[in-house]
Amino acid sequence: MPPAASATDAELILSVLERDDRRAFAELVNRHQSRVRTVLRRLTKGDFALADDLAQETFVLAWKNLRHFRFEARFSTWIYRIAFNAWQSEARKKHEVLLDDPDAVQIADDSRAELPDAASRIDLERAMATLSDGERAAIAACYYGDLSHEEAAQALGIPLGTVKTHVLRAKAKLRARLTGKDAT
Amino acid sequence: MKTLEELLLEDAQAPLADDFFTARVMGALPARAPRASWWKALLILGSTALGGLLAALFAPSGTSALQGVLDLSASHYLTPSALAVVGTAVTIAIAGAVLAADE
Repeated sequence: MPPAASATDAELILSVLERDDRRAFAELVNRHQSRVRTVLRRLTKGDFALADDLAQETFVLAWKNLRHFRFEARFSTWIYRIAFNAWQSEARKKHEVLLDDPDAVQIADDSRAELPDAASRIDLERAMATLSDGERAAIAACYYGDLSHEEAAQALGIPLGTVKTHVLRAKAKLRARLTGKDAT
Repeated sequence: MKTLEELLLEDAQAPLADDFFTARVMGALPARAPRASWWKALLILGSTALGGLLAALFAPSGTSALQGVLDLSASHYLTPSALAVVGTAVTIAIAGAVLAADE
């Protein structure tokens, strides 16, 4: 019997663990693929092929390690952590990813200020690609991964304060890019 | 006019078509390793217990499981029989722990 679409993530995970139910896992993949692939597309600066390879690796690792999933956490938090690790491993092969050394500069959060009408998701995608790895990872975790700052810090393996600084700095840079006030 | 927050959330929530991605993942999944079953546990624990029992039975005179238990109950921990009983118990406990870790 195929898993019910109304089944919770926890129920699907139990089906996989208890009955080796591949259809339940397929439902989990189908349910989370969009967000995971979007997060990875932003992290890889729009390299869709690499993002999908990493997303596949993420779900295969989740399958292999599902018995280690702790039910007190959300499945999405757990899967994003795997996705971030996959991205960091891939990025390390090419260059060093610096996630934890932002300058200690106070940045005002003016992200609620309005953007020009012309600002689109395509502009945002381009602007995201100009951020540092740490800034992009923090934005991807907090906005695309829907994680709290604490969950993002845990998923990325960096201090909470660093996540907050990265988010503030990234939003300031994005806003500058999207309003055309970026000097670079 | 929208804010950066709104644009970020709009981008994050834009659904991405599956485009056979789920099928691709399912095709890449490895087969599950067969899980340890009750008979495997019985075999390991049983053979460990039998080995311990045989070792105690065929040990030099003066060392027997019963004598070991009697020695332990009399607080004589360092007699050959007591050490044999303790060794057997530890071996069975380790086998059990290995099985538990395997699960």
